Amino acid sequence: MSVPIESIVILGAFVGFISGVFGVGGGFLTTPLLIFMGIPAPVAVGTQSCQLVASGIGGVMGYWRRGNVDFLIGSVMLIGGLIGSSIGMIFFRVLQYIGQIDLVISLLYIVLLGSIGLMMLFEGFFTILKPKSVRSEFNRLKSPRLIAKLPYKMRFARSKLYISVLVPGGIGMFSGFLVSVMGVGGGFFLVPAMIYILGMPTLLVAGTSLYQIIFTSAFSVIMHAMISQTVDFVLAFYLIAGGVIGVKFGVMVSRRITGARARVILALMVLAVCLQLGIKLFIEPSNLFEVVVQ
Amino acid sequence: MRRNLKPVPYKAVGTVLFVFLMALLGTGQALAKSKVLSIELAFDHIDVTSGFSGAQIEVFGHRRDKYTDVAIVVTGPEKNITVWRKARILGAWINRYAVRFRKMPLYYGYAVGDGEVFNDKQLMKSSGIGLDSLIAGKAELKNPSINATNHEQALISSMQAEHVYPVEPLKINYINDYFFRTHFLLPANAPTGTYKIRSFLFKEGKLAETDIDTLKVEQVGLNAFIYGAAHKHEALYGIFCVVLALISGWFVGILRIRP
Repeated sequence: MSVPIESIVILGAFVGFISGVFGVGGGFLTTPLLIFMGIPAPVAVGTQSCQLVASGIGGVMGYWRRGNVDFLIGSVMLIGGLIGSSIGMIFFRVLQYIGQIDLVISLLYIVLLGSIGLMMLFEGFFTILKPKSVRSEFNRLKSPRLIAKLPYKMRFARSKLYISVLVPGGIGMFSGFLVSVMGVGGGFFLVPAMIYILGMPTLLVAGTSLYQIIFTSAFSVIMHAMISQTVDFVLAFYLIAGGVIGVKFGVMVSRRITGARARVILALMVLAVCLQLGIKLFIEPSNLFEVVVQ
Repeated sequence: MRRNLKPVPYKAVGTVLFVFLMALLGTGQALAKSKVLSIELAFDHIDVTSGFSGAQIEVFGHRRDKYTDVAIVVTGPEKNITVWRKARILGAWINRYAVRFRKMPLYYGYAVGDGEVFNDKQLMKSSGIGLDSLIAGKAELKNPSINATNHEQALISSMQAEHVYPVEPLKINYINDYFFRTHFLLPANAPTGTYKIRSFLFKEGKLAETDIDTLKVEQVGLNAFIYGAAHKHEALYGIFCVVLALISGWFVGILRIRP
């Protein structure tokens, strides 16, 4: 793999900038951009989970200080996350063996980025057109009856919830699966799931999801290192270093951009990456053969 | 009895015998190491540092018979390689047909003299010299309907593009009738491990002698440490990555909280 260090640092800075401006993790952009740069998809995923640990700890510190982390529900989600991460690892290994890992990673990213991008685009447009409307209505959906019927209920005092452990466990499991297979923290999935399915107080959601992501991604890094040897620490280090610079500038810029407009810009960027991945899949490659050393 | 017979010069007989025995012994020794060809590596060890931009494998040799032909083959560490051919499925290009090649060297180089014998493709193939012989019989089809020729070609050209397989054989440079030298370029991306240097001697159109020598290519320095850790102590490496990520993340967190 011969990608210049400078471009890795610049990529890290760019994603850090995005995450500073928009307050997102940015993992969903890093992996596809690494793939565009010519890093093999499995290495991009393995390395990205290493970077997630760093950005997760950096983010959670602020929430922890303000006491906005529910460690109990986070730990239940974490148990699910570790199970999901292990399932994801097996899935990853099987796909590697049958030679379809690159394809599946690309497809999952196309679906993921496509849906996030479109949702953000519409949401952003509606907010620009009709300010102050939609938000309040969505705030809390009633938990579906099915969820209320599930066994193994547990009281989560910090979140003021009395709910079956299977629900946060299941949500954690899916996010763990995403970490292992795609190298994304899954914040885009966790945050809405915790608000709408669990009904957690919004204040606690960001910190708690980050707390869970740190451990599932740390587990995923170790598993990737042990099973498929696809963690490149040097690469991760340059990404993290670039990220530090980027976040600083991002936060500065974020004070000058209004929320909805920023989301539209981010949505367009996400859709562009999605489109690029799609085109790559459908255009006849110049070399029809792929050589994989095992 | 004739008394003028000179006494037998025992001493002289002894000397002759001694010389004769020595000569016999000498022939014996010569028989024991009757090899016509001998080669020597300039270095039996190559260190790959983080700034490694390639190295040379220098081979010197001597043949005792100038009416022979010499070839040298260098092979790197071996691994299994799978070659996929993409096909269009529902509009998308997807890895479809796999051919597995068992124990392919990740580096291959060969040098030949300019004898007629090297044009004998059959002989070269059976002796194990050249890319044809390297790939022959290595393909393991997962699906018997595939023609492996394209996969073989793809594998070779991919390795050639990485400069780890040669496009053309190198030349053996004869310094005089008996001494020769040649050197192989090991590119920066050459794998580390044990390399085999095999030498071949052809006489009258037949393979007469072969010999084998080894060379260690090892990484040294920080990169080597990381590489070695990643492949030998996987769990430790993973934990090391996590710890370093935690430390750098902590640092980022402090930076973020301060303003």
